[in-house]
Amino acid sequence: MNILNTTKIAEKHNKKEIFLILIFSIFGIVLPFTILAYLKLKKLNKDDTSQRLIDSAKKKDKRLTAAVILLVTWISLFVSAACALVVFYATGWFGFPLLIAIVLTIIVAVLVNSLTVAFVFSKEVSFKIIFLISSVVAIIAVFAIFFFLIWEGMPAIAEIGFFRFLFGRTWHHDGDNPQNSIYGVLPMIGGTIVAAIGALIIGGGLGVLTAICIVWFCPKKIRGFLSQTIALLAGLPSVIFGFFGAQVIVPFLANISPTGMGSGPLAVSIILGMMIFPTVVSLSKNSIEAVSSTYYEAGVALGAGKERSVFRTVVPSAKSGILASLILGVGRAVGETMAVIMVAGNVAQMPDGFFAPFRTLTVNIVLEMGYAEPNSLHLGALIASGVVLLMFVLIINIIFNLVKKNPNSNKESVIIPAIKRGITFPMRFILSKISRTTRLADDEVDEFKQRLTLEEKRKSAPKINKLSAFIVKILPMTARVISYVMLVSSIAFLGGIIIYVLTNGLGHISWQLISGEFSGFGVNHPRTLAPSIVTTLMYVLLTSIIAFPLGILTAVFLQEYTKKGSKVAKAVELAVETLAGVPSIVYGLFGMIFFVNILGLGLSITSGSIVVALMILPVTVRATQEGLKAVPDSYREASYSLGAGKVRTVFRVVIPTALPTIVTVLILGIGRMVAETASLMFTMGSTPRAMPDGYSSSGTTLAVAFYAFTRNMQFINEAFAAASILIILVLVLNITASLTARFLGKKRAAT
Amino acid sequence: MKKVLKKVIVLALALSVALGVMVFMTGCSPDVVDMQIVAISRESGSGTRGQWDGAIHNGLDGDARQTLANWMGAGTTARPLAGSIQNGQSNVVFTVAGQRNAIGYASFSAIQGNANLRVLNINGHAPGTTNYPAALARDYVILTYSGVTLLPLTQLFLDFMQSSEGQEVIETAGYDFHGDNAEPFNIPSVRPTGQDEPIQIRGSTSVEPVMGELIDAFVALVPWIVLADFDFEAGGSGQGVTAGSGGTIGGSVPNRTIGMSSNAAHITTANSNTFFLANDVMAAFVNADNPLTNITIEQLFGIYTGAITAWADLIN
Repeated sequence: MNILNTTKIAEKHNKKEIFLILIFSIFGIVLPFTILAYLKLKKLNKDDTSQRLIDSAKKKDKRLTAAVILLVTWISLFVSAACALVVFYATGWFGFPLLIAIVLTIIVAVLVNSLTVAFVFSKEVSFKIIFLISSVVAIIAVFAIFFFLIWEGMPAIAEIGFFRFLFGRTWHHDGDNPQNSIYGVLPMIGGTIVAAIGALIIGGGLGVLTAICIVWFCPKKIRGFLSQTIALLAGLPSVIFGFFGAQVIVPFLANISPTGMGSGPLAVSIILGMMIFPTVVSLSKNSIEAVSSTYYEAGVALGAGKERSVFRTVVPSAKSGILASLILGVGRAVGETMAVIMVAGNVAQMPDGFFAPFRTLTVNIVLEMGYAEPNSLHLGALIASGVVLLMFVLIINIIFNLVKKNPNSNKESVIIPAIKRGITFPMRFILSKISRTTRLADDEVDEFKQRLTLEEKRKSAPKINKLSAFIVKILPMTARVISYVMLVSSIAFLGGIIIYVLTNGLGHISWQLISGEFSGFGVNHPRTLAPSIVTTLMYVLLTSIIAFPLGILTAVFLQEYTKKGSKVAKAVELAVETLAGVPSIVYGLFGMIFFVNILGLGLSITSGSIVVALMILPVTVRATQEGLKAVPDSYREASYSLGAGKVRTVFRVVIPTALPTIVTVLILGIGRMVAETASLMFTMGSTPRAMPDGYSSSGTTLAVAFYAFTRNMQFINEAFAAASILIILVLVLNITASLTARFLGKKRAAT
Repeated sequence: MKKVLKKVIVLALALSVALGVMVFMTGCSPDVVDMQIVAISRESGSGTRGQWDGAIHNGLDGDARQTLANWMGAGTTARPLAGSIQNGQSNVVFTVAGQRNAIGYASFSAIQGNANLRVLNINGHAPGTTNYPAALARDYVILTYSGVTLLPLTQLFLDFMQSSEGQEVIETAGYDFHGDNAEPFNIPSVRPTGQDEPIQIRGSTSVEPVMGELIDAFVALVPWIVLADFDFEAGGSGQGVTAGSGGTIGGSVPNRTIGMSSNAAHITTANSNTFFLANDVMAAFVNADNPLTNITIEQLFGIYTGAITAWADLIN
């Protein structure tokens, strides 16, 4: 047995390993994060006049706040030190629990002290502190995730050896003889890269062409309908994609593959491609729409024709936005777990051909986590693969930040010209080399020219013109047709998933399945979803209670209480952005380490809800922020000029005006909670069980119960039924969201 | 007019492509004999997998054994490999039932009577008959941590499993039970105090079905026990061994946890009390469309090492 502890590592490993790990954590995690932070903080903007007016209101109580915060910090430090000492003497815990106790007491102390002190001063200050504290949660979450993953994963890397872990071509866990186990993560790194590239080619290509088609070629009438349909599909749970892949795509591919095996990179690319498709479409659509119509008009005025103007002027102008959407899509593909595990084949080997089974980093974690013993090297190695995954995501985040055009500046980002130069320079170099070697001698050239003129005279010129004209005409036409085909086929594919599941599942939805009592674990007992439905409701409730207030308060803090481009705001924004990029499986790992094991919450609805709340937080913050941004500054100014304070302005003017957006955000957030699977399996349980009796009992949500059903041939009908319920639920939530937004928006406009 | 024509052309092209894809998808499905073999295996750490590896190892020379170890462990064979790793016994069954050219292995009792599968005779012997390879016979065991006194409900359930009532349930579920002299189970008239939290059961997906039956029977038998008294998660034998020997996994607490394992050889720890639960055999099976009925250990070895790749090599 390999039982790890820190002293053993210190004894066992020479300085070289520790040094390498240090370098790895610096270059892998700390450096990317620092670059990200730098990029964020760099984008300081000068105040514009209307903003300055609002800021002056913020400045008023600055000194007071500073004093309060200073006071609070000192008091809380003393209090937490005292608490930590008490905990230490009372329990005799060393090391980790002590650290946790300190962190927790600091948090509690800051909260209690700041609130008491602040209420003594004024409502304005106290609310400001509440807003500040809720925004700090995002920052704490980011640090906690990084810290615990590295803390748990690094000792394993030290024991395995840095190079042998990262570049080892063999991953072999031997449960009977742990000393025979070999943990090399290279095949999974390769698998993750292949899956991401495949998804990018299929989902990215389809997505960009579909976006172009929707904005420029579609009849105007169906444009809104199409984009809303695609937005609806963005909410489909990933387990359903995986299920469709395993049921339809893999058996079909098995017929045409030379090895007779359907699963592998091709199947994964198709499924992941369709999953990232809605993301790519909606983002690149936005950036294509943002291109000024004068570009298009100029193209048409020069006689370029519609297709040519679109593909040659509009699309190139939107390229940074399109690129950003593709990168975001890749980020999603890299972090996806449940859809991949059902179609990848899961053998830990380098992907080798379109139909060879392979494993991604995410799959590796889910597949073997069940066997990882606490404190074993195996567990450490799995968590370390989570660290590698996190590194991937951070790097993708950096690239995203480099590519994304700063909306406040007209300057194009640096990356596009750089890429262009990077590609064209070597090409030009190679071309020049080639042309030099194949250059004809002068007399040969003369001869060639002569022949050419003769030829030209012989043939009639108009004929050539006709041909070239035809090509010029047909090429853009082809592009247009292709983009149409992409639009139709991808919508047909996604619609196909829904129709396939519903036709197979609707007939099996029965009263017994929905409300029947859980009557036993044995195979002959009819399955019921009632406990899962109750669990889902409980979990959605708790997650909403945690995530939504935090998210909305953070958004208010960012939008109303900080100056544009202030350091605090940028730090919070960076944390929110990082949280948004962290894959759900990493949230699951973090939840398992921290909430389930260290805090001892166990597999419970509480653990699952807290973890998913952290996941939903960034989405809530960002979307709410968009809503607050849309509130015109004149509203705020009007409120101030009537003598209202900051708090009153926020709660009486700004939030009510942004209400339609906020409500939409909440409903979409619930949709995401319902669809979540991967992180819940590690924090809430994965086998359907009896009715939960409180928040401390484990349970399965509808999506996890569906996954459990798909794993058993006997319950395939129940699986289809559960999938149908899931799809209907998510679609209803998404449709409600858009209808609510429209309804509230109209009502607002009317009053 | 021209515009309308253009639109019609575009729409027709788009539709024809979509239709073409659909026709292509539903078409072409060759005979199983002409197809490649897809070998479905379990993930490492599973008790079934460990025993299967060992069983098809027997009587093979060292080189072949090494090749097998490579395949099974990391798949570092020179050629691309057609096969997949499925987590959980039911996933293997599910995959083979859905894929016509696949072969897999699982507990015989779990696949008996499944119309979508064909259970193979090994070396000419059907599973359950006397000459069936002994290496494929397996014991299901349950284990608890020896370092603590079990909480009353957990102990009671443990007693039930070893009583004559428990044996009857196991035999009715289709498993062999060779244990003898089991005492009848005494139901305490009132619920013992001292355990409010559920009885936790962790471990093998192969033992999961029979354990499910046992829990149901226990709940039916004891009036003051309800299903909510059980916290039942089957994640694999590795989990069962950990949970049943003092470790914690998935929130398990040693003094109320029962681990289950499908592979007695798996249990290397001295920290546990181990109890025999039932007898079973492992069986190899193929899709019902596959005409194959018999296979040898050597052929299985060939399939799982990638030496035999086509069904044509095995069928006639």
